[in-house]
Amino acid sequence: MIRKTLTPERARAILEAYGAEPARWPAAERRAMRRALKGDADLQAAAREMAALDAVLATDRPGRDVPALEARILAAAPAPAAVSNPFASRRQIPAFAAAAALMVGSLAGFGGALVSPQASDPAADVIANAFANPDAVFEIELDAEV
Amino acid sequence: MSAHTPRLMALARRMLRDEAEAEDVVQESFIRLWRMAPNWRSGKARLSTWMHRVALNLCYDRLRKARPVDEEAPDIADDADGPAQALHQNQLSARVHSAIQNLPPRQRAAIALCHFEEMSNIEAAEILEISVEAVESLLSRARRALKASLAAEAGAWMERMEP
Repeated sequence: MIRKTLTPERARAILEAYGAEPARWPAAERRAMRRALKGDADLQAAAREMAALDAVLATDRPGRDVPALEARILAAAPAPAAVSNPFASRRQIPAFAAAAALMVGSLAGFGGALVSPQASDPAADVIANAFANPDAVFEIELDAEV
Repeated sequence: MSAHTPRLMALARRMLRDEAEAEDVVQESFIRLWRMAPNWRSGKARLSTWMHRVALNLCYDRLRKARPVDEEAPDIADDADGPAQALHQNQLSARVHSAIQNLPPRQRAAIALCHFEEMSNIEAAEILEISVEAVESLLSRARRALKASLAAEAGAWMERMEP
């Protein structure tokens, strides 16, 4: 097995870019970075400086409790008639209703239970799948409407 | 939705100075999600990547349109009657938030995604539409600026930690 080694310059560059927390280091260089730190007092000193900055930055914690915003987003879900998409307007109604139902369900902690039987519309299915599987990948045009 | 809203809100809050504008950005991101969903197929991009890019571009739009603002630190919550520690934490948090706000937008976005949201440099590069090397460069410059502007705070932390 080839053991990747880092030059001191690269190790320092990683600290300067990503800080002292190993979880933030590039995954491919994490093990080599740990090894580099073990035997290098200068690098350890640099890591302590970066740990201090990390600790100070950690005091900036935007609130994580956003139920009011989520309720507002659901209330603002686009009215079916106002949305332009490939679906005929009649088909949009169950799609968005199902998506909203799913989101309300997810807010209440019991996800799919509230999805109506009409959720077979592709738009609702996609949204349901996306929210149920955060790591799922989709063929989204990243630049579309962005 | 609960998995995405707090992260998008955290990104928008760090990118924009105005809480209401940040909420508007998150809301608009979800509206775009609903509009785009019928066109998706399995295969290429993670939902969170797409949504972060949408939110970030909406932030950039607002920053471009925004009038210049003064560089004062944000208001600090009135905790004068509370414990001294809470007041100190609030003041420190306000200084940190202000230092982040004073970064150029692209550096701010990189630090928000990689440091605060703990995304990989690869995912951040995809969201920012730049190379991994360019993400790393933005992060280095951002941290250098933050280290300079928060030197006193970081120094105090190191003093407390050292035996």
